[in-house]
Amino acid sequence: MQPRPIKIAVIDDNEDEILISRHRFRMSGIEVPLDHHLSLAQLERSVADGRVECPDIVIVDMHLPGTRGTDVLRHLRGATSFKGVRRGICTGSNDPADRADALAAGAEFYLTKPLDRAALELLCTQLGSVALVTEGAETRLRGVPA
Amino acid sequence: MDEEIRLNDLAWVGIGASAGGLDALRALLSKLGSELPATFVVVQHMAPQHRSLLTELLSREAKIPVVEVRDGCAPLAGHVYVTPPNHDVIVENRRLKLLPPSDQPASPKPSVDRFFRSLGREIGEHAVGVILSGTGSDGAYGVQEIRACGGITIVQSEGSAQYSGMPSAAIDTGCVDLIFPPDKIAENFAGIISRPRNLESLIDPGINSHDDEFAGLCRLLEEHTGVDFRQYKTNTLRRRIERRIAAVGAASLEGYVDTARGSKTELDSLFSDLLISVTSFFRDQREFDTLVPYIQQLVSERGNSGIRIWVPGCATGEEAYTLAILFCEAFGGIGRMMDIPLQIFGTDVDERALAVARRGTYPPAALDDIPESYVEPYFSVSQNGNTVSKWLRDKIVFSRHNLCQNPPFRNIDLVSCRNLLIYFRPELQRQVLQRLHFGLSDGGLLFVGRSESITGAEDLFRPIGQARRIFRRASALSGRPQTLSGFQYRPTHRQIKSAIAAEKREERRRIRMLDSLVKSVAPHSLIVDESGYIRRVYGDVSPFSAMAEGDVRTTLGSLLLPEFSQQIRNLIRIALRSPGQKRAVTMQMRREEGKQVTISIFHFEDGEEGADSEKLFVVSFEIHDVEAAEDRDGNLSGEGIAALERELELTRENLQLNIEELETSNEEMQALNEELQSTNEELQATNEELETANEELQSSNEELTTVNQELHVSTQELDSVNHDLNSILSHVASPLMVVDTNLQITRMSEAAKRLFDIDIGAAQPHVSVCRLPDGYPPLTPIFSAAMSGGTLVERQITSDTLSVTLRVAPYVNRQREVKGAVAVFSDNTARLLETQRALRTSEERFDLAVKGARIGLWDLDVSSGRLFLSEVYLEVLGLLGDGFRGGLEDLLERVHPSDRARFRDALDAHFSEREPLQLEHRIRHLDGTYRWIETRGQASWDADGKPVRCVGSADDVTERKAIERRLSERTKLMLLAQEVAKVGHWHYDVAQGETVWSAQVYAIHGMTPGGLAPSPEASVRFFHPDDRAMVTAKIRRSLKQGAPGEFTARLSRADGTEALVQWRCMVERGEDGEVSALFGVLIDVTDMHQTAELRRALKDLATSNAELERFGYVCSHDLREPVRTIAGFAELILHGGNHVNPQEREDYLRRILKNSDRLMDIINALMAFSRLDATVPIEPVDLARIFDDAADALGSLVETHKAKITRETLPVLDANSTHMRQLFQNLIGNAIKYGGETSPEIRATAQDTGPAWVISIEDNGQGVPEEQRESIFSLFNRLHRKGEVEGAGMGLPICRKIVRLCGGEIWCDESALGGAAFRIRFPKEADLAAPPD
Repeated sequence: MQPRPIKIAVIDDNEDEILISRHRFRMSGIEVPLDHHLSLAQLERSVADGRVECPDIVIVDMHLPGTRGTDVLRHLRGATSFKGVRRGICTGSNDPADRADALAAGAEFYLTKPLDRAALELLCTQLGSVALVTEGAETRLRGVPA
Repeated sequence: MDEEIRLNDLAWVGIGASAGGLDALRALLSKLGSELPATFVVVQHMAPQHRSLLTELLSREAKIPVVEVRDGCAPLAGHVYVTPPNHDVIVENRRLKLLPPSDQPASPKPSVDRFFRSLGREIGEHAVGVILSGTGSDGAYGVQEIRACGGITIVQSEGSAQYSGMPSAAIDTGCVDLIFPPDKIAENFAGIISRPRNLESLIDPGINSHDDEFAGLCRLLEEHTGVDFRQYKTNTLRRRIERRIAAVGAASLEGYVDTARGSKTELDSLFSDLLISVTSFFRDQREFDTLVPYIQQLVSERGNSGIRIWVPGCATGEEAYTLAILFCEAFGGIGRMMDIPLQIFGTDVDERALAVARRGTYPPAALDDIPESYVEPYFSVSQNGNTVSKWLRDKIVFSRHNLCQNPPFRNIDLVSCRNLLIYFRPELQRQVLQRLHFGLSDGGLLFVGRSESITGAEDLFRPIGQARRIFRRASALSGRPQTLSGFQYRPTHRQIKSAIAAEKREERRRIRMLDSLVKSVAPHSLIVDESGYIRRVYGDVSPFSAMAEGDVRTTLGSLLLPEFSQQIRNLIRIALRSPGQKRAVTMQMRREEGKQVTISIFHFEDGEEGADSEKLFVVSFEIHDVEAAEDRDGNLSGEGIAALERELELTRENLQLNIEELETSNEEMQALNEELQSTNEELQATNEELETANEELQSSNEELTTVNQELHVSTQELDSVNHDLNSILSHVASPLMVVDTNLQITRMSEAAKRLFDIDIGAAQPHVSVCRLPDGYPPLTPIFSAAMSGGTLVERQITSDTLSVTLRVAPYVNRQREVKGAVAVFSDNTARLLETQRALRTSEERFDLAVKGARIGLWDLDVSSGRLFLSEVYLEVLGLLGDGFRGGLEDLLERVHPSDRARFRDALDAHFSEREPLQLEHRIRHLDGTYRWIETRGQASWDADGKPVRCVGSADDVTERKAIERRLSERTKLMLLAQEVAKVGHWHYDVAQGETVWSAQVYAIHGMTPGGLAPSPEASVRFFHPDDRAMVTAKIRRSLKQGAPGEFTARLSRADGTEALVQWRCMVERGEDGEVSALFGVLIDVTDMHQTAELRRALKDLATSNAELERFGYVCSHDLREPVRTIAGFAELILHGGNHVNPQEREDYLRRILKNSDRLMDIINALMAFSRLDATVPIEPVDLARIFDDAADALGSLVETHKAKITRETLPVLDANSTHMRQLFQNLIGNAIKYGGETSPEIRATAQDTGPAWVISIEDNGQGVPEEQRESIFSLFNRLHRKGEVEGAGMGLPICRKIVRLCGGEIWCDESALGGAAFRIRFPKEADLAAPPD
């Protein structure tokens, strides 16, 4: 029995970035679906409505309009509906202050944009419990049994 | 002890009066002397809301003191006490007690009844009740009480009373002892009160010898009234008789017996006096309370079969009504009244009392004792008193009945015989108790009074309960009382026995004879009396008899078959009309078929003809076979026809009889009806008359009330005017005098009394009696002149020590007749003296002032050259001891030689040219030193213009001169210091427009002093062109606002070099508070500034470095984002190959374009931000205009969003216009962009907070959450997604930077419009030259 596929949700105000990431995944043969949400509120609403399954991993942009990614992380840490969900930051900023803030807010990983195969590999390394598994032409992200 | 006796012997006289009472009271009280051992309490009906003048009115008439009743006072002998309005008064523990009046509408205030009742109870025999004129019936109930308690009652004679209602009501009770006009009442008091009320003292010692008189009186009474009083208790009788003796004023018992013998009225009075008893509702209520359980028991046991109650000696019925109420309550209240099987008999021997009881109407005071809860259901309260409910009344039958003489009522369940037995001697008591025992049903109850017992009849009644007031009938003895009258002559035992034996023998013989006779004639017969009672039966009447249902009595109806009893009744009636005849009728026997009976009747009289004879009837029955009334063919036999005819005749006769009887009774009914009708009409007429009288009375009452009120008001006015006048006269400072036409002084002010040393009391002295002070003219002629002339006469009385104005004015009445004169003396002497003293004081003050001020005076006679010098001047010259002799030349000789010519010139100029004389010069002291003098002077000229005299002052100013010199030295020092420190000072006089620069100011400007006429305008021109606006603004602000100012600016010196100067300015204000001058310093700080600037730049750099680093990261993020996106898309297009289809390619290209636009925006915004710097020119900026410009520039945006922009008045500020425009543009743009879905509304307002202006730009959009209100001012911070609102996120950071450049602050909070409010604070005093970091 294969470990089950991992679902990823991305919270980012920039649609273009996701578009590029998806296209890149496609080109690299990575079959990792990215649920894109413009805000935390949108994600919560979708999960509550049942339109989207609860993700395994949430990737948050650092600079969101009116709020910061660290605040989203703090909220996720306390939310019961997102219990056990892995969370972290993916941002274009390489400001060391941002990295420190993210870890302080409970980020389990810190990635730098663009979100591509290299970023996914870094994610696997940082989390440890997931891995990119290549099956023929397709590469998927799967949970690693402890 | 004496006191005690006196107190107890004190007679209490209650006097009740109403309408018309005042006159009667006056007449009565005026005749009273203080020697009477009596106190008088007046109870006069009064309107409760009026202040009463009664006490004052009465005290004028009475010879003894009249006072108002105070609560709790113990009245004194020889005093009259008046009840105050709106109070009731009662006697309690021999003190007068005031109570709030009854709230019943019909109750008069104060209540005479209430007072009299308490008076009677408390004072007893020493009470006297007097009823005077008045309407209504108040007091009638009270006199009964007084009478019952042994007091005397007196009533004003109806003829003398203005209103006879109250007197006649009292007389109607029959309880009035004496009737007199008021003055006669007073005259008789002495006799009534002072007479010892003790029969023993009236008659000789040895009471027994007077038994004859008592017996005589009793006989008289029995003859007159039918009541025998011999068995009444002697003491009671004696007390009552004493009272009457006192009332009629008889000298002795014999005298009274004589009076009574001759006067039926007196016998009536005595009779009612003897019978009067104290009665009231719920009397001794506690005892009634103990009775209640037995009443309830009676009701539950016998309630179904009906209860009968007897109240012997019921008097005016209160007791009977009380019992009726209690039984009613036990039966379940008034609601069940109609079905209650209750019968109460109230009996008394006094018809008058019974009449009251039958009426059932009682005055309000009588209801005091009834528990509150019973009044409402059982009484109806009306103007005429309180009437017992009709239902209750119907339960009681009142009738005249003498308990001692008449047979008792039978089958009684309860007898209430309270306070009656005490009047009887024991013998009579026992007999009465026997009667009651006879009357009571088995187990019936007897209820007696508090001080009564059943001594002598213990075998008849058994006490139940603790109190021994309630007894149950013992059933032991036979019911019938031994005798029905205890008063009649009773034969001895033996006589009775033999008489009865003889009588019985005779009777038995007669009966036997009758029996045998009847039997022989009619073997089966009855003897019946007129009423149908069967007296005797002969033979066998059983075929005709049967026992009827119900009570068995020996009547025909009860014992015979109905058909026979009916027939016999008819026969009796017929036989009555034909005495001595035998009548018969034949009728069928229903019981025995075929038998007939013939009933015959014979009428005879028992005994002799006369009243005693009794009509009796012999009825005989004869049974025989039916005679064939008709034969077999149906024909009537002769015998049958005869029998039928007989029967028919009898029937006819019977019918006729019935008809006649009916007619008779019809006639009787008619007569009765007519009588009733006439009575009714009479009653109606009386009623109408009464109504009319009542209305008249009411209207006259209203009129009287009105008149009374008017009188009251005018009395008050008069009183107040009088008071005013008196207080004016006693306090007016001027002597004032009023005289009448006879020149007699009627009124005088206190001042006048003192002035003329006269006192006017009751006497009115003549004017000439006044002791006139020295210098006054005789007054008489002046008064006469004023009165005869009819005009005001005014005289001035003046001398050295006197200045008086005398004004005499005649005064006239309404008919324009002179009735006297008024004189007023206005004394001005004091003022005259005051003026003289003031003048002296003023002169002294001037001298002192001149000396105190150390000013010398001089006086020059120009023509002679003689000079006078004052003491101070002499002191200056050191000549104080010696004096100065000589003229002007001598003075000039002492003037300093170098000043002498100037002095002389000044004098000449003044004399000839009249120029002001004022100069400072030195003058020599005796010791040779010189002193500085300031001389001033003023000459006077004659007609030719020649100076005649010149007077002046000489002020020693030596010290001032010294100070001036020192000051000038200091100034020089200061100038030197300024020069060294490169500090110059300047002064600008606003009013004169004059500017003074110190030499150092010129030096700083690179000029020599005097090189330029200084002025503010000229000063400004020296400053660097960029700084001029600021400098102008600063100077203008100090001038306008009067605030100190300070700035540092670049100055172009005359030689072209540039200096940095610091300018500081202070403000001088004139007396009017306006800015009068500016003065300050100008400091060359070029050197200092360079050092400070370097230090600051270094610090700035460090800060800016750190800021830049942070800015770099932020910048790089936002700048990198579009770049990264562009690169991402470009890479996909370039290297995507087959993975990118044409549509995607086009989409990606478009996205690249969009991101590059965005990049451009960010770069532009960054440029704008970095361009903001502090070096822009500062000038006055009209914010209103700038705001409008900014709104116009956003025209297309405004149109797209249909935004509505308004503003209020905005101030003019020192700022940079370009910056301000950008500030407003950003804020308005934001407001529109974030301003909500439909028609954003933007409003700009300004508020002056004193030190600063606060400008607000508000919108009605969604607002800014509180936690973000600070972060929105950071770089690259946006609240919205990029797609929704355009912008580089630089707007608000730019705004903040602009505002801070002006020294202000910007922040965000909530708006009243519902959206965000951006508030900008511009301080008015911001130091623009040195903007904050």
